[in-house]
Amino acid sequence: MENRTATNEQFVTVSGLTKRFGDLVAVDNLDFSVAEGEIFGFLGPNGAGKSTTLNIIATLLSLDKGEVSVAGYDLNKDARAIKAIIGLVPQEIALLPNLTAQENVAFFAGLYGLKGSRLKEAVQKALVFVGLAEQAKKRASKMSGGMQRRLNIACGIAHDPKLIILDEPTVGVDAQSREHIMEGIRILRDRGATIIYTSHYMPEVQEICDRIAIIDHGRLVGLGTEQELLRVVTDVKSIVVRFEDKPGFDSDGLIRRLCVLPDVQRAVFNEGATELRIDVTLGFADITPLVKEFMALDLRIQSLNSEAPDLETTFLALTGRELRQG
Amino acid sequence: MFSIFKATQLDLLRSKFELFFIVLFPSILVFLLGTMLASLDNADSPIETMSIEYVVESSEPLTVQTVDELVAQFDDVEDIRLIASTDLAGSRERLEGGELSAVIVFEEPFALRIYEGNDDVQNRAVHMVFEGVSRIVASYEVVAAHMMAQQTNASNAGALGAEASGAENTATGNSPTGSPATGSPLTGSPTDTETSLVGAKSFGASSSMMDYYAVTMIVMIMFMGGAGGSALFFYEARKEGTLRRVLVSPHSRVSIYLQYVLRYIPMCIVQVLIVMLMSSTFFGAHYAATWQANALLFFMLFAAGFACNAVALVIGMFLYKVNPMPILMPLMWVILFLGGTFNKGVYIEGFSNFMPPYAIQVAAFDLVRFGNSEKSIVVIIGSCIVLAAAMFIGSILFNRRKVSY
Repeated sequence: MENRTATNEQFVTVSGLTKRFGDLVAVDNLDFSVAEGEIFGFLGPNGAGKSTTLNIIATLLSLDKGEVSVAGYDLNKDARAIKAIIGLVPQEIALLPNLTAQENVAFFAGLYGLKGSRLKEAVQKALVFVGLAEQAKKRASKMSGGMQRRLNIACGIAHDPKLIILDEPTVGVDAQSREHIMEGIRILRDRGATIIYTSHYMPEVQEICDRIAIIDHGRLVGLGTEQELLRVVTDVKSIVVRFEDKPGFDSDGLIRRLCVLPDVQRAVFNEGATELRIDVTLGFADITPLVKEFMALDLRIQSLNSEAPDLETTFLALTGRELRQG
Repeated sequence: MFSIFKATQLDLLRSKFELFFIVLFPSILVFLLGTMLASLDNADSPIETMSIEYVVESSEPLTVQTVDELVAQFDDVEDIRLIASTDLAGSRERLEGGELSAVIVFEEPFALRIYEGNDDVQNRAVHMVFEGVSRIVASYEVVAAHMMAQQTNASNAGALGAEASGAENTATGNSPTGSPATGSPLTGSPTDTETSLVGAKSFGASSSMMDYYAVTMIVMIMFMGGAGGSALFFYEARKEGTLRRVLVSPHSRVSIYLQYVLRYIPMCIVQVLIVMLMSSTFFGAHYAATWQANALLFFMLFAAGFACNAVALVIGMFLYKVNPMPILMPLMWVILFLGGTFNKGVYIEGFSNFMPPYAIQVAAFDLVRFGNSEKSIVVIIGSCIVLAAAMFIGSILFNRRKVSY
């Protein structure tokens, strides 16, 4: 594989895409494009039309209206040519559980016409890439969740696809595997693959994606780089409060009480409940009610800063829901 | 070209869960049913020697002669000893003391009274034997009435004898004085098992319950296990995501579909073979007399099972979003029940005979018991037509239906 970076050439073009299921309009006149060599984040709450769109691009679903082209091939006319250059890494662990890692990769890569020494080489390369070369003879069912995720990726990339669709590839994996997967995706991009990436984990999207599209109710509600999207929200600011560690306090109760205060739009704790991000309207001026709530729980403030809203805030502003809520 | 077929077979061969359903489930079923039915047959079989005392309370010459002739019939029967008695009270005492199996009283004019002993199996056998006797005796009643009428009409004695002889056969189809070849219920079949005495299982005196249930077990497995599993395929595939990944590959959907259908071939072969071999090896189930007929039986059951899987796969294509088992299993159960799979006594004219399991079972029994292959060939041809139609329709639908599995 040659090393490449994103170009201005559009690799995937979606225009006027519409898909209905009976009366339900799952995708409504959607337009976007993905540049060659780009990692394109595709976000949306559950039922937003995200999976439908990806399934259409992956040739699994037919479209009702509009046009989709991949690498210059028209989806309606050249679906088979598109299939040959796509690699799908589904959200599910789509493996044959009783086959070894090697056999799984060989099976899925073999579907793309790879045979003999070429197939062997591709399998070996893919397993090395995801760090499973040592586990080649191990059955998928005997692997840990993180290893299965990595094998899931290996099965989707072994045939060296030009377009890789990664549908939440890090669900349920530990931090180490997540980091391994993230690094792998960057390498794939550097080797010239175009990647469409979905996740429910915003920091991942921020970390890895060149551009992000947010869709809701089948429509595109936001598109751009992280910085461009952050500028979309102009009527919200964030207050970030850091506390001294106090295990066992009622963080959920605190969030509930904060969210009913005037001008507070959202409050969310980090994983250790030591950092609280509160999104407030621009009219918010008095922090006394907030401090009172903290004092009621005997929380000791280490620092309190005003920050620009993050991508989660943007997502919330655009869709009305948090990404993790789905 | 057959990469999907090969990989899924390998996956299946290594899957304990799948192997349970393909190999262990039929094996367990054969052992469970075999053991259960064997114990039923045990109750049927060793009746031991029965000592029965009989008392003739009639003084009617015809009755006395009839009883004498009946008793003479038992001379050749090793396991039943009929002993004449004139002391009913003494006989009953010996019965209560366990020395006798039963006491029979021949009353006037042709009625029977049976005093039972303590052994249920022997009691059943006694009833079966002497209910037959009772019928025979009843036939004498017809004969006697006829004779009386003839006498009243002052017919000559020679003509009477000839007509009486004809009437005996007409009335019962069994002559008490006939040789074993004439089909007497007492001597026409071995009397050492209740099954043979009763002869009520419709498959001949030498058949056992296992002979019936071995075939119906295969039918049950093909309809409930095989078809259920196939119908579940798309639902499971949707959850697993494997099919989505296969569908993204440049293989044609028709080829993918057909490879998924073909993967049921080994499964069907193994299931039919297991039931046939295990039921005959371990539980003495009887199949056809010749290897050709057995091969035909095997092929018929395989073809029907494979067709069943192919049809279920088409159905499953439409039920991929919900688990189809709660819908299909009760339906299958009703079809099997009405088709006489669970109980051969269940038969509703105009309904049961249209159930596929019934047609398969009837064809199998016709081949196994009577050596008639016509119905089996009809089932094979029918199964092939259904299979071809299911594969054709299935692949067309699969090709056209762009749904997200």
